[in-house]
Amino acid sequence: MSRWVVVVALLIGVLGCSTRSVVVKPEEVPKLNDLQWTITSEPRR
Amino acid sequence: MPERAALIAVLVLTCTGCALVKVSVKPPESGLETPIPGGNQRQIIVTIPFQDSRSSMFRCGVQKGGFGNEIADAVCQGSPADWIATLLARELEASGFTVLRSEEGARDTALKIEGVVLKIFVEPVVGFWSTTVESDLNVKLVAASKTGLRGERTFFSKGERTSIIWPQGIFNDSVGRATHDLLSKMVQAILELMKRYPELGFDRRDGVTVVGWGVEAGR
Repeated sequence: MSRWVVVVALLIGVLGCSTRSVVVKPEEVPKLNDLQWTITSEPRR
Repeated sequence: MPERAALIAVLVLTCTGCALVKVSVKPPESGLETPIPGGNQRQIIVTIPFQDSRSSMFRCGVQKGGFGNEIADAVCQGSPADWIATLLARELEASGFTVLRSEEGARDTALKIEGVVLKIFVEPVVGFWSTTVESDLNVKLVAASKTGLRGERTFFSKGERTSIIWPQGIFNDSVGRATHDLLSKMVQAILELMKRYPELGFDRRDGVTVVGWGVEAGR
């Protein structure tokens, strides 16, 4: 019984993977960048 | 009895991925390898530090074990609101701007840059064969001048570093890449803004003469 527990734990450890919890997916980065400045007031010339 | 101890040891090591200590995230020591030219000695005031508006202040990321379980916090060495602003000021100087830390003695046309740090987070994304430590940086810049300009722009950068193990050095490499990408985007955007309003930063008596403005393609 305990041998199987070890095998399962090792398999999880070796084959384990995780998803992102806070960072965003790389393909979402362009959408999070403003393409240009938002100008609310122009300078006096 | 020894069997049980071995079983517990295997389970602990498997679950923790052999790393239980906090990771200390530090900024890159230098700016862009090749500065972006175009400053032409125009005046810019950079407010240091930026405002820190991160949703979570107590950590800058997370360390994960071998199968993606969170095992420790990643904490920032110093304030990211301070080091991002300082690095931007240095990078603008390297681009040829005259960078001031306050409005004292500045021209009316000087561009004033204030920033807000919205996010800095470093996180390993654990895969089957390797792990990518990803760093997200999100900063908003607010540009203003005494002559009436007011504008803002948000920047988001991601740094990635893939490895089969992910100790502190890998975290720092990832943050370094994100920071350099962010610096490049911010400097190019400031140059773009000053191209749109070429009188910014110059002494009005000198007239407006923009010489050699240019951003390298593909940066």
